[in-house]
Amino acid sequence: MNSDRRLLALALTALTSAACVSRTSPEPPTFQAGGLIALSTPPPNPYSLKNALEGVYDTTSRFGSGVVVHASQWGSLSTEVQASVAILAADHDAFAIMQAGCLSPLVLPAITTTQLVLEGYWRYLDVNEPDSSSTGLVRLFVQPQAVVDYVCGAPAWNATLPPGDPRAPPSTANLALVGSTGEGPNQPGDPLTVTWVKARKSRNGPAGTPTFLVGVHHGGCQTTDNCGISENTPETAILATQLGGDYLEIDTRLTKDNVPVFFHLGLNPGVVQGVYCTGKVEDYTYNELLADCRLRAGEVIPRVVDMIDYILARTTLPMYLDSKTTDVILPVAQILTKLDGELGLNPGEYPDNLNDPNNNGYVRCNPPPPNHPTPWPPAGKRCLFPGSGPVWQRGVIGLPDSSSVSTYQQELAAKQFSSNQHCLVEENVSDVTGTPCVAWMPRYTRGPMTSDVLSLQQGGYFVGFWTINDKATIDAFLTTAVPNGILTNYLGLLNQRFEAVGTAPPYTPTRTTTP
Amino acid sequence: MRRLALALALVAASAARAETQAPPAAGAEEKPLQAWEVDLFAGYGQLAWPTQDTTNLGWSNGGPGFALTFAYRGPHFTHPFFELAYIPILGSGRYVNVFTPSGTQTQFASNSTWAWGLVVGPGWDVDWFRFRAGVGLYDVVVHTNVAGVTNTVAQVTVGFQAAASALVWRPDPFAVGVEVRIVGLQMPLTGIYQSMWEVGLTGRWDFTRFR
Repeated sequence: MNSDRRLLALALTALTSAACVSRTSPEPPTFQAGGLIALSTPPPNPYSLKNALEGVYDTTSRFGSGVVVHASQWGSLSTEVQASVAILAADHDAFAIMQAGCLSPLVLPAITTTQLVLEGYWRYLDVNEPDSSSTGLVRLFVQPQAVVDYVCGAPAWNATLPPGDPRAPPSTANLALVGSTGEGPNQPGDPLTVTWVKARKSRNGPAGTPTFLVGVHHGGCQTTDNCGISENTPETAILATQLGGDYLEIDTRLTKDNVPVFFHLGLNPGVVQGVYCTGKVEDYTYNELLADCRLRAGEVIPRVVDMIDYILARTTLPMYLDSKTTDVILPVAQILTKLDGELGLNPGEYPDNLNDPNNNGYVRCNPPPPNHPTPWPPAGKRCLFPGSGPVWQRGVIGLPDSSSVSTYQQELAAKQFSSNQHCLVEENVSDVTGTPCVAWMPRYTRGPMTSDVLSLQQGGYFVGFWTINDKATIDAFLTTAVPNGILTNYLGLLNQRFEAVGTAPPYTPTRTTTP
Repeated sequence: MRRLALALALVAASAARAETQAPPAAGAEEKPLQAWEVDLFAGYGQLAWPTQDTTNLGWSNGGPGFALTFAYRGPHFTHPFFELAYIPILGSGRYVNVFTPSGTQTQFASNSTWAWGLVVGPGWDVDWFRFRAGVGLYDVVVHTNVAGVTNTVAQVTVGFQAAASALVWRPDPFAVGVEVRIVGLQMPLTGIYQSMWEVGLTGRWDFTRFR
């Protein structure tokens, strides 16, 4: 009897403790008082880091060999274009994201010459509840001085100049990032040297444009991986850019009052918080979601119009908008149409947003489109992020099943879409050409399907696979299917594996860039 | 999830051990008393976890909870029960920012949520104390009123319950006492979502007894 009572007491204790599992998302560690970056100034040209540092490196600890160092630009013209440097590794699906800053001896008397410091945090994504053994701070200094001078002494860039640094890259001789990493919020103390090995592979095909792209599943990090940002949020587009993503796959749904929002599946506690937040997005009006639901890292469930607006202004990423229900297809297409301020620029394009004074959509400002009228940008229009393609290239409607293909075809026949609306098919190859869409993105578990892949690629279609997260399968698809893209939750891993075994397909997906 | 599995395993182990323990036999020509009982619980309860965001919170409370339980008490230490329960979760009012045709506005939202549960599980009587642990299906209802617009959404989910009673007054065949309950609701395939506490009065009636 006594042992029964002990078992009962243990059972009650376990039940009680199980009911108290934490559901808040941890934040990445940060340097106290902003670290050395707070004392530094940003590089005058945010693009010079790409010239100077982008490449494949070996590391002495934490990240393994053959890692990718990736420099990215993001932000907005209304604030400022910012630069990040990331280390992308296959070991532990690791990454580090760092800001760059130029330290002057005038500000920091302890140094005698200008230093280029990189500060941020590292993370192992193979541990989805980060602790001090799977995340921490990182601080690195760029060597040699010639590279520091190249970055910190660059001519200042502003939005009137083309995106990029026109100067020839500095020499990579003795190029290294030297410093340390730490555990959790502790000051970095474990030595780390990141040594240049070689330049990154070209991803360009014969036409000189990229033919392989790294696809971002729901954003730069799954909510369940606890990166401090929830999936399917505007901020994940920035994270994805920093981690070497080239296009976003994000999920669209329609609320009870017909507001398109970004959300993946059900309102379950793995991704949302809120006592009154249960069931499905479709059960609630947007105001009810706004009042009662927060994503796990505290964000609101974003409206499609707000999030696309954010992404267009702050990144160059194309978006594959995965339609989770058929009734969301047309409303999302209408949002894309309204945001495209360039529609009407070329003959036959409709509607004519370019000449509609009430349209405040986005246009390419830097660089502007080749055949633009003057003055440019037109009054009332907003500028896309520097280097961006037009809106119609960046917003592709995803059709995951035959019913969504059928709905899309009906709306297309009824001329409900703008003339340049693009779509992507996940299931049947014949729907890609028959709809017509510009891309095919089947589930990887169907196998590499090399003949279908090749046939579509030769026709100028984009072919990608979803969603591959392990090294062996990524390698297998990179080498056998040779696709134009792979969707993954682990951007560092895919970037690293492409450098190790990948090949850019020889066929340019011309249809994605053709009106 | 591992803790829940542990809890269920421990409950099952407890029941199994009781099954293997032979009832006292010496001189017991008389068979042990068996009974079908009906229990009523009435009390007050509310959300225990997760803690509420108190930003712009106007008011917040739980509500009355009820349960109707049938149980069979046999010769074993462990008795099975079946229960229909109404569990208050939370009611609250807060100021929220919502979209209106004229832009973002601050409006008042009053919401409430409760659950109906069908629960089965084992129970144990130790002198005048009673302990029960159960697993059940719960229909969780959310009623919202945001800016004057009402909506009701329901979803079935899995839940777990534990209760401890002290039957302090036992006029045969009745017993009356106090009871404390905790309920943990779990959405399908994910972790524990909400847990509630309840406290109140309980009564037992052995409506059928036999040997």
